[in-house]
Amino acid sequence: MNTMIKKVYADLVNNKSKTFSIMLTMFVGLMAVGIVVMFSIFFVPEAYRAYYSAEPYDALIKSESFHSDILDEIQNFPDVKDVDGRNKVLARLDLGEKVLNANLIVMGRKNSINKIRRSDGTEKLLKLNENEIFLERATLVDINRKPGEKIKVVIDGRTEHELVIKDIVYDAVTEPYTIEGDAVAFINQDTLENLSGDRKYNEVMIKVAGDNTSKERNSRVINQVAKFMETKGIEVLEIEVPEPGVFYATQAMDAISIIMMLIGSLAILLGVSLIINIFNSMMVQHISQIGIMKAIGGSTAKISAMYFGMVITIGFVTFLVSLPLSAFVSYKVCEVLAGLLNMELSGFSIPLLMVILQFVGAVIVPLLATIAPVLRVTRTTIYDALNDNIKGASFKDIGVLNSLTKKFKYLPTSLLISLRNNFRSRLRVVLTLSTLILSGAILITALNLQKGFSDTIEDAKFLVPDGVLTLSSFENAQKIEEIAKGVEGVETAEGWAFSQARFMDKANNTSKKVRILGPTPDSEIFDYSKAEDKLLSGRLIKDDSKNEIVITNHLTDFYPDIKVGDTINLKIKDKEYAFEVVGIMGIFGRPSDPILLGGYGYLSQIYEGNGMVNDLRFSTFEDTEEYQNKVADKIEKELGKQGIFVNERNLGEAMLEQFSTSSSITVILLLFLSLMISCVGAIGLSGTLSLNVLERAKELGIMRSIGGDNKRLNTMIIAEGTILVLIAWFFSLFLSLPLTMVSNNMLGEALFATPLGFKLNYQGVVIWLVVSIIASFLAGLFPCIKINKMVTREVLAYQ
Amino acid sequence: MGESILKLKNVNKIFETDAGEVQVLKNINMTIDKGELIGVFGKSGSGKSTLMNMITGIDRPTDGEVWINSEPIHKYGESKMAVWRGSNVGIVFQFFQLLPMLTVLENIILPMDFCNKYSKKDRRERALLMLKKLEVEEQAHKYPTALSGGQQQRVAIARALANEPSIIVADEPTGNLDSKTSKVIFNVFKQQAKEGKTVIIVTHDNSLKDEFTKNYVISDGQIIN
Repeated sequence: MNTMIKKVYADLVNNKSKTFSIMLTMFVGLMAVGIVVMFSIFFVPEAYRAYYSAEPYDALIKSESFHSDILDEIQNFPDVKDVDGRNKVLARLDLGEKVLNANLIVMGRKNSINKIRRSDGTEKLLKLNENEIFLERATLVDINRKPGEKIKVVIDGRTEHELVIKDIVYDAVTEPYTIEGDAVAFINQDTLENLSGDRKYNEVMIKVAGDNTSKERNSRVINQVAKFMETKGIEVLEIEVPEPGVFYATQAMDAISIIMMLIGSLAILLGVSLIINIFNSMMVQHISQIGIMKAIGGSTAKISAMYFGMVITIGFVTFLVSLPLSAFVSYKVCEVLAGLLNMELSGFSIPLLMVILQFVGAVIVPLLATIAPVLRVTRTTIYDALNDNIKGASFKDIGVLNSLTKKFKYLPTSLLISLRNNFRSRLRVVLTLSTLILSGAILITALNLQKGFSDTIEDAKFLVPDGVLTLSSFENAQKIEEIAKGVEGVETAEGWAFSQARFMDKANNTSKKVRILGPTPDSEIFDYSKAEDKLLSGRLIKDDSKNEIVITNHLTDFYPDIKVGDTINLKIKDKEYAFEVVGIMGIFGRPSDPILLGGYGYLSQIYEGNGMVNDLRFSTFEDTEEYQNKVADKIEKELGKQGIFVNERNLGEAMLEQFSTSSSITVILLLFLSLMISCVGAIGLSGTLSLNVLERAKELGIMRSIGGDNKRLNTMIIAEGTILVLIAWFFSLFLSLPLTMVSNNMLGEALFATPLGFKLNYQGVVIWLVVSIIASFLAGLFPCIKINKMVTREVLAYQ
Repeated sequence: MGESILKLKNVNKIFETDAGEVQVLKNINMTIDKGELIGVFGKSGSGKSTLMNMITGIDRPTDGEVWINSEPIHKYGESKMAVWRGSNVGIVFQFFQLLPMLTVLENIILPMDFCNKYSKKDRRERALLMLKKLEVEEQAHKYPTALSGGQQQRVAIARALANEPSIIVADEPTGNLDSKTSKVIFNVFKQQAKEGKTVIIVTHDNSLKDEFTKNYVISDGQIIN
């Protein structure tokens, strides 16, 4: 074997711990990069592939019911490539142990737009017969039924039908049960007729011919269709033109992508800084060897090549281990995400770009990172090299720190050593501190976000009571309240005015479905003071008998020009009413129909006369979904005895659970990545302390020779690490503040449609402090063992 | 005959090397009395530094015994030895070996901190006193790198004296100094011996032979004179 290669090999083998720590650092960084890359170049395209393979509609019209022959006429439009109709029926699936709200979708004529497939991936669906139902696969998390079994479907709160589950299907376009909270199921028109006596459609889905990537063009085409339908006497209720290339998971995926990219880049940056650290110190230790090699004819180029060969060897071995492992782990992470977002992955594969990026991360980046430390030492003159004239740890007076420490006259000298030693190699301390600060800041940010999420969800309770029963008819508020209050487990109950309405956008001749709520003025369930806090502008309703309305950010997302003082038109039960906008609230969530708040008195007058309501809200003594469900069952039973039926049931805990699912995914991802970065930080700290021990072995020997026993020397090393982590903890706390704010805005907007309130997770801050201190102890263990094994004679090189 | 403070009995030291065993000390017997100023001479590689390691407890004999102040230090482990040495033996190195991250004053306080021998207040006062005695008190708050070689060696001696050890061992203490400074430093050691300390100095400088109360010459691991 070539002697130069042999030396490289010997250096790697003889410095097992150093080689291992470099490989471990790179491995952790590459693992983080693997997850980021797999998410960005595999998961995201896979998500879009699954979405587009289902041929999502380019535009949709919600209208009054119409017969299928109208679809044939629309198909003849030159700009319409394909058209299909469907009907969406709000129903409930009674599972016995619980009741789920469901969107029953009556399938169109040909399953060519918003295509559904069998859950095993087969394109061709089984034939759906009368009284049969397809369940969307995401509902299986709560519906433990198999094909062939029966399921009870309730329409209008009173009509019950047992349908046979024909098959489990996959709908890649509709927001899944795991995110939206409403089960998705499919029936045919015969079944619809059995359920509701109707065979008509109420939605038109179109695919635009030619270029369908422009929202403007898609809008023009659908408006032509809408006009045509109106000329046929079909009232158009709402036109929906999705932004091309955007679907329900886009915002969440974009936000997660940005955050993951950021963290991945940090992981690489931190890994690089650690490698620079380790190489800097290793090169300093090799200075005498380099002097000797130069003295016997080694050129700077050849000696440098040996060290670069070492970097390449380490990098290549790490690459071979990291590529399959990180691809496997990343794929598993993607599988979990895909399950939560109801997406389908095409199968495990390692994208070429991932191979390239892993290679760059494992070999090229470390090679570039080590150019400076290698050349700094290999370019030293023979004289300087043989005389050990480059010492990385030479002590320089650090003015501020020293004048500060000099003031404390009776500070133990061993503590002074720990304190000042940390700053002997400024590059090293900067690199180590930045690693620790960043990892701490990311971890605290993740925990702050988690607190922000949970507090936002908790905060939302002012609008999300323990239970909401939407009645199929308007009833006397006092009567239904009394019935509900008589049920065991009900703390309080209130009848609110509630109606679906349409916001009329006169300028564009379109409309948007909205929900108007009218909480009672003396409500115990609606927290007016919290609502006041949520106001972005204006005020809450003062006089509930007036035509005042408070809109929410959900409406201004669609119509950003609306402001306080404007008059808006709302169509309620075929009649238009003008409302004055008195306030705009920012509330969380992304409901498909924006929520507006009106005056209880005015709304109940409009609806069915004073005191008539169709929305029963109640609070329970226990905050569990199971308990709330049981109480809701009992209330429904009591209402049923009085001939009052429930159309829709929403439980507070279940609704909040839906929100916490999406936030949990993000927090888990962030925590996982920050944990990886923390590992890099801990390895870095351990490496720094080990290097300190190695470099200062002689000083430790001197201390031994003047009375320093193992206990004292170990305490010094541990204190050195602890001082570093305490400084890092302090700064990471500060750095986490802007990071939290940015993440709050990005993730809040992406997941909840509103920025999260800034929350500092004190527990997280304390946890990170404790973890840091424990990590500093663990990081100091290896160096301490080294010290304890140190032979004074050897380190002093006395003879 | 004075009161003996140090006894080496049949001390042998063998190093295991890849080339085989190398016997560096061969059957060394030595008795040194309190207050003696001892010179240890020998060529490079003769074994004199290994002998010093035996006396200071920095290394242990392969066989034989080392007794200091009636304590069998050859039986002590590294960590116990460190504490014992801090209180009983002051070491002065050729290259001073002051800790660069501590000021001159802090360097002298460090062994007192290690051995907990004086109260915190006394440690500081005592360190200042040592510096004054060695005429470097003005350098107290400077870092070692700001001092000349002679000044650093005085500080190193002050550090060696910090815990009032009964024995001071100096390995080539003037080897890195000019002749004028060497003389000054040597006089400091002489003064220590006069004050009752046992001072053992390893040196190459044969011209100093007459200055010592007893000289040992080592060759091939044996005391030949």
